[in-house]
Amino acid sequence: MPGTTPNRAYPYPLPTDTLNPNSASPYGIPAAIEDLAQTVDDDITANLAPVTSANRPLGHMRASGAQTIQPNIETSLTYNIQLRDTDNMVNTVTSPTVLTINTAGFYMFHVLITAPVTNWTNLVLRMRLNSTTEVFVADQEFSTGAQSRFEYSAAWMHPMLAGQTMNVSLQHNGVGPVWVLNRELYGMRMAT
Amino acid sequence: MTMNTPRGYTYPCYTDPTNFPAQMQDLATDIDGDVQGILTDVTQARNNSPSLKVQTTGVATPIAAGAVIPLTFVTEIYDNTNMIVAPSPTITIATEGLYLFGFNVTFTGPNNGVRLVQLGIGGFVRCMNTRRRAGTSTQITVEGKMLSNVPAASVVNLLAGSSVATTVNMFQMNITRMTGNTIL
Repeated sequence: MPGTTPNRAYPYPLPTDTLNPNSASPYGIPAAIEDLAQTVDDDITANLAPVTSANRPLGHMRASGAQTIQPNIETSLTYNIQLRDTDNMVNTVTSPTVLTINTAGFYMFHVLITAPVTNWTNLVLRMRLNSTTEVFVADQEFSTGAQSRFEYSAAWMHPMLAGQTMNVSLQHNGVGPVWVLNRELYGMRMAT
Repeated sequence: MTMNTPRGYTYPCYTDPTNFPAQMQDLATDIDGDVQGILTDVTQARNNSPSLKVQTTGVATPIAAGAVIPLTFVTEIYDNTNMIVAPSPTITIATEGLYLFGFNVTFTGPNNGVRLVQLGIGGFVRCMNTRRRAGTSTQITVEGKMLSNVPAASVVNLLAGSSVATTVNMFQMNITRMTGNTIL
């Protein structure tokens, strides 16, 4: 009956074990060495190799086509193209406005939008947890149409639980609709 | 007299008295400690980057015309490596590496003048963003993001300034380590 090491449970013979120098039976020296070697091999294959090759949970989606944002109404941005998804975070059909977290942890998010500078002077971007709790807000303004296109990107981070979602919304003060062109949302787990 | 492999695994010499169980236990224990240490380090590097989210909301911080001041963080949302003891304006990054910084500062007050936000790392301004106020909104946000290689024990600050007297009413700092010099 071999003993085992404290962390990884690698086997080694005890002084009370019956050891046959030339036989594997009942627990010979070759068998003891084979047992240790095989257990170390199995452990590294099962536990160390996957860690070095595993992807972080990551979701990345973008949109093709403009989205209409009516004035003075907070509107969630929609996405219809999945770019990368290692943890079932993206579903542009059933959940086109959110990244859904399946592995809890501390996540980094990044958003990118492009919109024409027409019809608005004030624009508010919000990032909401579960489409309710505001975790990031940015107020933007333009006095005139001095620029033809407004491009905005931001990085923010937040601790997330499995099942929670993150989305981005826009609200503007225009007298007519604003058509948001490019929009991308990216989330990646950085810590446990 | 036993010998050791380059990783410190112990094995007997031909001239050593044979004590097979003890020698096997010694070898198994050496490999055990080594694999456990590597697994812990790699898991930490891969899946648990040093990260921080800290913010201040609902506290009005006045800024005099022409002043640039460090902002004091009040609420720790996430901090897995003791980067800050809030309330404090000082964040200390213990582990060197390439870090991503994301920050935003929202100003209220008059809708003229220029607002300024600086990211300070190790006593130097590493990122500076400005925005001119000219609209009709009641507040404006100046935000930024930056990748920067950060030496160990570096102090990080977020500073805000304005060309006219104004007030900061909300700000956040987000930090995460993207990679390091030793692993990955």
